Amino acid sequence: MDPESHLPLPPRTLLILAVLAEGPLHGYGILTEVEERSRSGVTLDAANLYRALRRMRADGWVEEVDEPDPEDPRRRLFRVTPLGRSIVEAEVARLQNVLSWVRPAQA
Amino acid sequence: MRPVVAAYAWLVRRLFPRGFVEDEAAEIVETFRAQCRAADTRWGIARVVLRSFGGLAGAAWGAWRDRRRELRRSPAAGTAGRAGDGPVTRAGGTVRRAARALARRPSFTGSVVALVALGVGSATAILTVVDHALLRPLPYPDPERLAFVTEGTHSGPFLEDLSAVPGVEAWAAAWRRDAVLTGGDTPLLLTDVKVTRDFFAVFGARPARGRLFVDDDFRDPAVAVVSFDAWLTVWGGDPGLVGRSIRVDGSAVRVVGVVEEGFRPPAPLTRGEPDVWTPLDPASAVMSEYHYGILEIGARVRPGASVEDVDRAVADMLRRRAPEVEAYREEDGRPVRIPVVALEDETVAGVRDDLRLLMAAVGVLLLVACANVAHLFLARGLGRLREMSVRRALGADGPALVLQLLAEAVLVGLAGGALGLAGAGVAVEAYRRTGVSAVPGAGELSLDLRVLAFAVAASLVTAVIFGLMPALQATRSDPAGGLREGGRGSTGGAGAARLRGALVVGEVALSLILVAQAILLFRSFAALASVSPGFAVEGVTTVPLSVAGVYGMEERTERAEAIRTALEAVPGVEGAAYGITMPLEFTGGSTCCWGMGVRAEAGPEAHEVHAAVHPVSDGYFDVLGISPVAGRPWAPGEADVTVINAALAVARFGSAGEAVGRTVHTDEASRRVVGVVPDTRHYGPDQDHGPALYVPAAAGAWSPRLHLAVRSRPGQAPPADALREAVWSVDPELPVPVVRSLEEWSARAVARESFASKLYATFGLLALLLAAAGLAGTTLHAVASRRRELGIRLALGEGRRRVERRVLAGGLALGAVGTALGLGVTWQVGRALERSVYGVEADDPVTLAGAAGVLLAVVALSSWLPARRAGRTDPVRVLGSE
Repeated sequence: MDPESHLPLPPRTLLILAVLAEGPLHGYGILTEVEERSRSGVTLDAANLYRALRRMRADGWVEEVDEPDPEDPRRRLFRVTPLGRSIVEAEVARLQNVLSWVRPAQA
Repeated sequence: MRPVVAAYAWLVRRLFPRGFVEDEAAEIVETFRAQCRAADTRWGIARVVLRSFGGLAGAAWGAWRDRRRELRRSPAAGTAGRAGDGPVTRAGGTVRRAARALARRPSFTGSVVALVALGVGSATAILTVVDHALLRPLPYPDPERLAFVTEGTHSGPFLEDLSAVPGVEAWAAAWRRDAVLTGGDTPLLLTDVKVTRDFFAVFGARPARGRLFVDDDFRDPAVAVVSFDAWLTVWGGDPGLVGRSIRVDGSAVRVVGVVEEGFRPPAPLTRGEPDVWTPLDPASAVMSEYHYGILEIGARVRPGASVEDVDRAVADMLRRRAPEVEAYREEDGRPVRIPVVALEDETVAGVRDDLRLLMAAVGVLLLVACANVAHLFLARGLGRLREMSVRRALGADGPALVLQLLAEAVLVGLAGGALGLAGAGVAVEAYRRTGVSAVPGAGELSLDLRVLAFAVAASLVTAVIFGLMPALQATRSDPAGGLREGGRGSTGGAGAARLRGALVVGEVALSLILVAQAILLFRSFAALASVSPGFAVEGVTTVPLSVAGVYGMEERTERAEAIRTALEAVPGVEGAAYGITMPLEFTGGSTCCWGMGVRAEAGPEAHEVHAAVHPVSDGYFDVLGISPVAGRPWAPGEADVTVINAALAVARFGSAGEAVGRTVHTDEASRRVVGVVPDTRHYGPDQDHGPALYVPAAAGAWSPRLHLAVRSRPGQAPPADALREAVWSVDPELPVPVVRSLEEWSARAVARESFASKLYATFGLLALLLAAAGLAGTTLHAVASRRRELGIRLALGEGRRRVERRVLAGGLALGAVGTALGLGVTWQVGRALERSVYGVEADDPVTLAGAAGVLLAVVALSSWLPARRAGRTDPVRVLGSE
């Protein structure tokens, strides 16, 4: 269960986990956040989002929140699990590391 | 907006695995709807829609992949392999499973492979032939600029007049004749083609050794160029041949070169490949007479000009010169018309219609074969519904099942294609060997890569189309439903039954077309074969000789008589005679060799009847078994006499009896008619000979042809060598290449029709078998699917006979509809056939009735067996199995 064994993460997965790391969200919310943050760099549609969420649930990185969404009981809320959180943190660290190799060359 | 969302929702439900759909579909659709609502501009909505629909495919693919991964971890694994299997391993597994599934049903697999092989094989074989004959360009540089002058052979002066016609880069003429090669063990008859200066240049021929002709050769024509094949077969590839002299027609000729190996001279000009080529001396006597037509003429058109331009220019030339040149005038004074056509058209003209017909027939056969393949796959696909349902219930996923069925279809298609290709190879090889290759360039036929590609593509397309259709149907359906319905559900319901019925009707209709065509061609062949020739075919053996260059004109008659006497001395020979040609030597529309206008009174004013002139020896009519209907043959030594045929007698004098004793006048002589003989089919059973004049042989001494015939007891023909020895006893330098019975000449005359009728009979039979199989299969299937209903009826007391009759009626109904449909199409198709058919009207009712009768009989038979089976259904067993 070493988080590093799952790296590198595809951009989509990284963004979804990063967004969820800040707090539980429902599907539509995740979509809007992702789009806003990446300034439309990462495109995500409903089907792919839910498929990713399903996979991450199966892998144990994300879980469903038991209490229903107060605004709309039909929608499910998702949140990141400790495993998922550790994976995001590992990936961010890795990316920062990579960036540090590059920067000296730019100078 | 709503229809877009509905469409999105529909797709989500269809494309994703069940579990996924149950859990996520609702929210996905909701999210999509929310996105659309949130987008405020038209462009924003469009972007959302595009992105969402576009992402479906990838998401679905991923979802299915995830599911497989899930299943691998679960014990109820379906068709997926072990975790860690690479894609190649998994593909191999699919193929292996497919192969096993096919092996479990050998009759199905064998039938489909055979059907695909049949369809692909025949289509490939025919395509090879047609491609070679019709589609490939002529093997010369810029073949579209090559032209050909039609209307038979032409004279030297005509060629000269042509040289002034504008638009032509160069004219090329050829004169094909026999020549005798001596100096070896036995004298050999060679084919010599004399050509004009530009011939080799026009057709792009190059020498393999030595050189081709130069200008000087046409002033001093004692040179020759040898064809590559002749160099190998006649001179054994002797490298020292070039520069040596050979003895042709008694004179020495120096070989200056060998033509390159691949050069194939154009068939309309040389009618085959010569052994030697010699220069045509424009100053020679044969080239100076307008009436001496010996040349086949072709041309290369100037760049920028077209063949039509040249055709018009030639017509202009003839019109201009007609007042001065008699040969350019018809009988009524109008200028003759000598069309100039593209060489490509002329080369395939004779066979184009035949080949088109053949392609159509093969196309029909292919359709019938495909229909049967569809039958089999439909029946099987539906029959496996149960198996698929069970597997899906156990967790096997849709795509893997479809992939397996696809693999099965591809395997079958490839196997059938390979088998068909092998069969096509054999067929093409056999076709190449038969003498009926009237197709240009037939000797070079070989399957090439394009045909191979077609075969592979055709077999795969056939298998995949028919294999996938039912496969997708079977896997799409609700597996629980399939299990619940059990045997009843395996038939697929009314839709499939209608489809199968339609297939059968189509097959029957198509088969009728082929059967009708076969019957028609057979009747044509039979009509041709039954024509009474007017002479005895049995007991006559002929020996065609060519004395060109061996005897001068003065001595020909004397030598011919000597040979005749020698032949009569051969044991078993009852009589010998000769002429310039013998019956059936020239067939298929070509004639030989002499014709004149025949007048009743001396003087040019009287009305002429054009007649063929046959110089023949004494005893000709006896040897050929032609009995006069009036008068008698001439006696030996009688001068200025003639025997005419009935057609000439009637045309000239009104009746045969009236003609005897009268005199006929021709440009050659005035002769007294001593006898009248019946009309003979001298030029083949399908050619009406027309008026003919038989004269004593001396009048024909100008011709180098000497065709002898001997009569013997039927079945006791003297051996060919004895006849050859007899000829050589008179002249050891005379080649005797052919000794052939009139029976064989007769068979050759109808060889094309005989072959065609056999070929189409085979097609018809194959199509019939396939249609019968298709109908039997459908009816059997229908019976099987209604077993429960039949069981109930029988249990309730309905007689077996009634049940049988009901099933029979069902099959007959399908067959009748198909037959009616087929009759309609055949009626139309018959029109197209009319040209190539002899003696029978193409839309002849007897043929159509015969074909319909055959089809209905086959239909009845195919329905009868399943009907009997239905009647013997055991109601107890059927009802008890529920």
